[in-house]
Order: sequence, then C-alpha cells, then structure tokens
Amino acid sequence: MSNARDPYLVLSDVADELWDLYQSSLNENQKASEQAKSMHDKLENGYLEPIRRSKVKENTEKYETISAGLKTRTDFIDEQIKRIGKIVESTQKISEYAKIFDQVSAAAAKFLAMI
Amino acid sequence: MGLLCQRITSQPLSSKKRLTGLWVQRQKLFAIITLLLLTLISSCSSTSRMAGPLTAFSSATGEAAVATKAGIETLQNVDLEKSAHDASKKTELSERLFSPFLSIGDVHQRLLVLDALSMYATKMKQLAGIDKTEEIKKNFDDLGASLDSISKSIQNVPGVEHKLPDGVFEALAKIGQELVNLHVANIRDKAISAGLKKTDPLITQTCALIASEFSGPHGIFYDQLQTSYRTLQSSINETFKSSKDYQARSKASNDYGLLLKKKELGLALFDSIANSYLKIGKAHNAILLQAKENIKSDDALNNLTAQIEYTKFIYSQLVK
Repeated sequence: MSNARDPYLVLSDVADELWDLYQSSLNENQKASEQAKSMHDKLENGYLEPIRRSKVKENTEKYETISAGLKTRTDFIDEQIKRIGKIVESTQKISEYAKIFDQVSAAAAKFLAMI
Repeated sequence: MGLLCQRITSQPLSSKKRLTGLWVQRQKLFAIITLLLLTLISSCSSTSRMAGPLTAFSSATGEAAVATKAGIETLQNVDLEKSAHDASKKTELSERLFSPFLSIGDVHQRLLVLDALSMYATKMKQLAGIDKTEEIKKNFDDLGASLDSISKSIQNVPGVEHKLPDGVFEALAKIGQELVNLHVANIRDKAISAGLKKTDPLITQTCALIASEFSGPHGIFYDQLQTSYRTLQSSINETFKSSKDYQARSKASNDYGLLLKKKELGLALFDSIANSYLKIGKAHNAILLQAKENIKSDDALNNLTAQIEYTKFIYSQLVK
C-alpha cells in the first residue's frame, strides 16, 4: 500500500508555507518576502488553481448522478405517501357508498311498509 | 335484504326463542372479540416514532442548504474580485481573464443536489408525520352511522321481529377504523425503513462530496476562497504601499483589517458547512439505526443541530 499523499495536498501545504513566509518577512526582509510571494503566486496560478478547476468539473459530473439518484429515492417516498392517501380515500368512498345504500334501503323499507 | 327478512320471518316460534338466546350469546362473544381486537391494535400511534428525528433531520438539511448556497455565492463574489485584481495588472482586458472558478453549470448542479437532499428530507418528514387517524375515524363513524340506519330500516320492515344487537355497527366500524389505521401505520413504517436504507449510502456519498469541497484545509472551495482573499490582501497592500498621504494609507489599512475579518469568517463558514454535512451523513446513519434497531439517534441529531447553529452564527457575522 502506498503512503504517498495526494500531490495537490502536498503542493497546497507548500503554498501555505510560502504565504506564511511572505507574511512573516514583510517589514523585515523585503527580498525574502517578495521571493516567497512570487513563488506562492506561481504555484497557485500555475498548478493549484488549474487542479481545483479540474476537480470542480469532475465533481459536477458526480453531482449530476447524485441528483438523479436522490430523485429516484424521493419519488419512492412520494409513491408511498400517495398510496396511504389512496387508502384513506377508499374508506371515504366506502362511507359514501354506505350512505347511498342507506338512502336506498330506507326508501325500500318505506315501500315495503306501504304494501 | 329481502332474503334476510324471509329467513328471519320464516322461523317457527321455538326456533325463534333459540335464535334469541343465540343472539345474546353472539352479542357477548362479539363484545369480547371487539374488546380483544381493540386492545391488540390500539397500540398503533397516530404518527411514526421516527417523526421527531426525521423532522429534526429535515430542518437541519434545509438550514445547511441555505448556508451552503450563501457559501457558494460568497465564493463567486470573492472570485470575481480576484479576477478584477488579476486583470488590473494586464495591459488589456479579455474574457479569459474573467473566467469564473464556478461556471453556471457547476453552480446549477450543486444547487440541484442541495434541493434534492432537502426534498428527500422533507418527504421523509412528511411520510413519518402522516396522521390520517382523524380522517379515517370520520369516514368510519359515517360508515357506522349509515350501517346503523340501514339496520333500523330493515327492522322497520313489517314481519322482521329480531332486532340486531345495539352497538354492533359502531363496534364493527371501530374495528374497521383501527385495522385501517394499523394498515396505514404498517405501510408508513415499512416505507420509512426502506427509504432510509435505500438512501443511506447515497446520503453518505453526497455529504462526503460536499464536505470535501468546503473543508479546510485543503477542500477545493476552501482553498480557492483563501487564495482569492490572499490576492485581495496583496491588492490592498499594494495600494497601501503606493499611497503617499496619511488618509489613503489609513483607508487601505482599514480595508485590510476588514478584509482579514471577512476572510476569517468566510473560511470558518466553509469549514463549518463541511462539518455540517459530515454530521448530516452521521445523523442519517443514526436515524437508520433507530428505525432498524431502535437505538436512539439523539446524540447524532444534537451534534448536527449544534453544528448548524454554529454555521448560522458565523453566517450572521459574515453578513453584518
């Protein structure tokens, strides 16, 4: 198993150290400060930012797949919510049918009582 | 109805007496069965036991999405300022100099994921909070009343001597109501478990990906924001160095101080957003465990809520 760190992380650490050097040598060692700043900017603009931009694109593709996956799962939940809604709707229909049947049977009972 | 009337009225007198005894016995048996059934099924609660955790999860996910969108907007704004500074050093302006770190498509896909995550959490909360007991009760009360009325109509038919025991339809409707409640609760609870189980790996992946971009150091968003702020620091420093009068130097110095504060808060916000998503992932795992094995998810949810509160605090400081 390789213990090698991601080159981006190594270079980012170097850039951070260069920035710290630039900051700490300001007002004290102008030449060292300018050199550190120049190296930091080169590392950032030449390597690190392009790597980051490329990673953004890679991740964007991953997000596209994730969105579709999340939508499928949310649709499943939504179906279950609708399924429950339909059950409740059925009980309402049964109750309505019973009401109609009640009216019909009441009329039939009255008719039978008349004859 | 006609058949029923015919059967009852055509019984001989001795048989009618036996039938009356049988009715009384049946009524008692019916009452016992009703009581047993109601005791067995009345344990079903109106909302799921997962309603509380899923409500907390949904709320945290929604708030994290708001902070994340604000984070992306901050990154875009600071990135634009950085581009403007970089361009000011060139002899001519061009489109390439203002190529944004995040394209419209990059932002759009991230916002879609945040919305999809919030929507999933909202639907889970909605599912767990389903409480149709009142609606079902009303429907069965109406059904019981209609059946009772039908029964009375039958009894009013001339020749029908045997009355149906009182409360039969009311009890039947109550049993029906409880059975439907139980069925609904069963579907709901199974759907919650299935939803959590199916989605958990995807939630973990999503949260890890978002966190990897915002975490510091060296998440790509975190680092880009830091670089942009560093560029702006250099820009103000150059202004400071080139200024001759005290007022201009004082203004540059003040701007530098404010920028450092914004940088600190911006980076803290990004790191907090990353931690929020790691905790959202863990909270989802914990809720799944609670649904499967009834192990409480309180600790994971409390950690998540605390992290979200911290994120909101940093954001409120940043927009001051």
